[in-house]
Amino acid sequence: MTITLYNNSSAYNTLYKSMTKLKDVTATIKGACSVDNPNLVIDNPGIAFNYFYIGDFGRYYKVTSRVLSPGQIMLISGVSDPIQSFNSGIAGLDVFINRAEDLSLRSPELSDSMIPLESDVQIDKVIGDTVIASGSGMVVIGVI
Amino acid sequence: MAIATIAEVTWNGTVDNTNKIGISDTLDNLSVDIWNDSSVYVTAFNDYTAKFTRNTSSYPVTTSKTDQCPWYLSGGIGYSNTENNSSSYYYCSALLAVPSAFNFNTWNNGTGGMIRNTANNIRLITSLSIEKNNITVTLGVHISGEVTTQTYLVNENVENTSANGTFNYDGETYKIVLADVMKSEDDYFLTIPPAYMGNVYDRSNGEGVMGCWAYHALHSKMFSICPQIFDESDKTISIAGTGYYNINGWYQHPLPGIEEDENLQMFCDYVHDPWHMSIGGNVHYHLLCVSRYGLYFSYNNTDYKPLISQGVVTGYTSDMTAESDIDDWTDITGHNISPIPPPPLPPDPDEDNDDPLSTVGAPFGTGLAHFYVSTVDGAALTQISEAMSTWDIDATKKDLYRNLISCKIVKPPTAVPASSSTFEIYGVKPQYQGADITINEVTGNPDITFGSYTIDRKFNDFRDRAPYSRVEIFLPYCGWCALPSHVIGRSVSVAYYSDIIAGTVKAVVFCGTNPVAEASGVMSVDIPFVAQNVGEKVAAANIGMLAYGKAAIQTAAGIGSVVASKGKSGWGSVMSGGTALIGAYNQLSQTENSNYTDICGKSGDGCALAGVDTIVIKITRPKYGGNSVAPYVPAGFAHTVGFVSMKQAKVNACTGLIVCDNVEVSGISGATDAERAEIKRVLETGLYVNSPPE
Repeated sequence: MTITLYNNSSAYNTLYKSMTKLKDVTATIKGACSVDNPNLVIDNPGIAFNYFYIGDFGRYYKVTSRVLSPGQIMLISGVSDPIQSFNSGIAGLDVFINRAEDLSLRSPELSDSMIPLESDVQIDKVIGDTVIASGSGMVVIGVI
Repeated sequence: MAIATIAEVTWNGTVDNTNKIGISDTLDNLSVDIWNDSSVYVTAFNDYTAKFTRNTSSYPVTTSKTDQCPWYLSGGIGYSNTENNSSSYYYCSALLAVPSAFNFNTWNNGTGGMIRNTANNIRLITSLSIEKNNITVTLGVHISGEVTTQTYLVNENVENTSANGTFNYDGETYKIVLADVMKSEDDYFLTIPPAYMGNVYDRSNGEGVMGCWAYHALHSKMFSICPQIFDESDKTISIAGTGYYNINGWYQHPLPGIEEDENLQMFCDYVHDPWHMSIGGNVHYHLLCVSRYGLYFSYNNTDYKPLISQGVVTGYTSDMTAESDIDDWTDITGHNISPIPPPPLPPDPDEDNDDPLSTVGAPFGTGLAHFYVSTVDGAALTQISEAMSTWDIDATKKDLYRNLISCKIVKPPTAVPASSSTFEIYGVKPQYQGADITINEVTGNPDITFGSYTIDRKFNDFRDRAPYSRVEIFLPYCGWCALPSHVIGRSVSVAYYSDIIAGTVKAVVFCGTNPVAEASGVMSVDIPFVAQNVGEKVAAANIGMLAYGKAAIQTAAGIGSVVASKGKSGWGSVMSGGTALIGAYNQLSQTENSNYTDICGKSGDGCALAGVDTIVIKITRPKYGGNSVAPYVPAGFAHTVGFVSMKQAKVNACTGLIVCDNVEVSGISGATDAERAEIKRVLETGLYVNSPPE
């Protein structure tokens, strides 16, 4: 079967990875081949790669091992990357977000124990009006 | 025998104390005060003590044959003379209604004499009643007749003045005057026609006696009103001789509870002597004297209240709650000046009070207590002290004679609402003459609102709220007061509600229109003064002076409108207990203790005179020095930790880091269980959402 070799530069938990396509190569299954963790034999592509795509499986795999055997034969193993493989499905999910980077998603009035607070305080003042006028006051007498 | 009454005339005249006739109720004050122009023509009659004052002179009643024995009577005629035909000086007076053009000087005919009215148009006034501005005059028969042997007397003290208060009767305009038959060195008498007299003697031959029954009218009326006080058991009439009649003098039973002094006893003895017949043209005397009693009196340990209707005393009752016009006396400004004003009505329970912060202040200008404000300084306070403590005053000056109940130096947050009219307190001692101070009557409490003040937020998040931030406000007079933290980011104002009477103030902090805090404080310093028991003081005063009080209160109420009493006679009418505390302005003037008030000064704690005078709002916030700009979080915090969201959204609507909770991933088709679990795990630990590649 034909597989595509990629170079991925994004973090694993990125929805749409930045994948650079390298080349298509022919791969043969070595023994029983798991969809989740396939083992394949390819000719030495002569390039570095860390992801491959199996079209027959419809999945992207992160390379977990590459072993070069005599005769320019390379044994590769991979693990399924469901984030990349199913990113379009993930994108359509309705989720309840606990925390978010986007300020538009922030609830600032909710207490956040992750924000560090110092024990020291700062004092701000607002100076108002003078209530008691200057002078000695006045006398008020009450009579019957 | 009744007095022949020929007319009752109702005169709708005005009464004030400047230049009019002031006449009190017929039986509560048996005297008539007549003013002419600006001088008091006749003063009140001092009852049981048998003294009276006229102008500035005081005339005692004695049995001395050579002493003056004058008195003024109301509604009657009286005269006195010796029984032994010796020379004496006596005064006699009568209330007369005379034609306006009447000239007393025309009666002048040498020494001795009588009032003579050849025109028969002088009317004897037998009773007077007043109902505010309506005066009812009851006219008796006129004085007429001649006795050829009589001579006429110059009444040097009676002025033919054009008194105000004239009235019309029978086609002629009358004025009410007090006719003085002044001192005489010879015998004199008044000629009263038989129709007027009960038992009368003709003196056609120069002998005989004359009497007067005018007192009967008054006595009878008083008896009908208060029989337990007045009775006629002592009055007898005997007829003897050749048409001469003896009449036991009727004398005023002293009211129980009234102190009898020596003068009274002599007076009673004097008037009780029967008529004497003499020969030679001398007379006999008959005193007409009706002791005046106060409106309220005690008898047999029971207090009595006058029943007054339309200005006339119609009776007495021991039921202090009985309806009487005396409870509704008001002056021209509407102030209740009743001796014992009715208690205030309870508040209407159905009345809504939607304003929980409405102050309950005293109804200034009404009720018994009045409050006055003046800029304080040392001299003013001293003058107030002097004015309160002195007794001897110049009647031409306006004086403050009141029961001083409080004196404070206040520094309210704003000007005290006061009437535009000013009242002056004259320094009564010589060194203060002319150094007047001006005071104004307080008309309301000085309330004011300060602000608003905006309290900015800093963090724009939970850190602007308690317990992270807190707000305190310093309220002058009251001190520090905590505010709820929700005022941060809003504006506050401070309203001061003052109680000028108590000298206290309440500050209420509003956030918008909602009160959020309140505090109380003191804005005054009490000036303590020493005073004797006020009730006792007033109890000793003669309530009969209400005549003056009435006159005084006819003018604008307030300080300075009181005419000081004249003389220092020992007042003896006793009011019962605390009911003596009445609203008559001039009561205080009648006490003899000149040290009624003694104002001294001292400072006290909590005085607003020394303290911070400005509103200060203090906001205490947490510090965060990691990032000095909003949102005041560590660098990278948003990208690595994220802010609290707690919101629902689609993943593709987000950008950046999202950390989800309880993600539902069953909708992702084609993924194995393990893959779904992984997707769920990543979403719940942090997924960076970005845009799909183009």
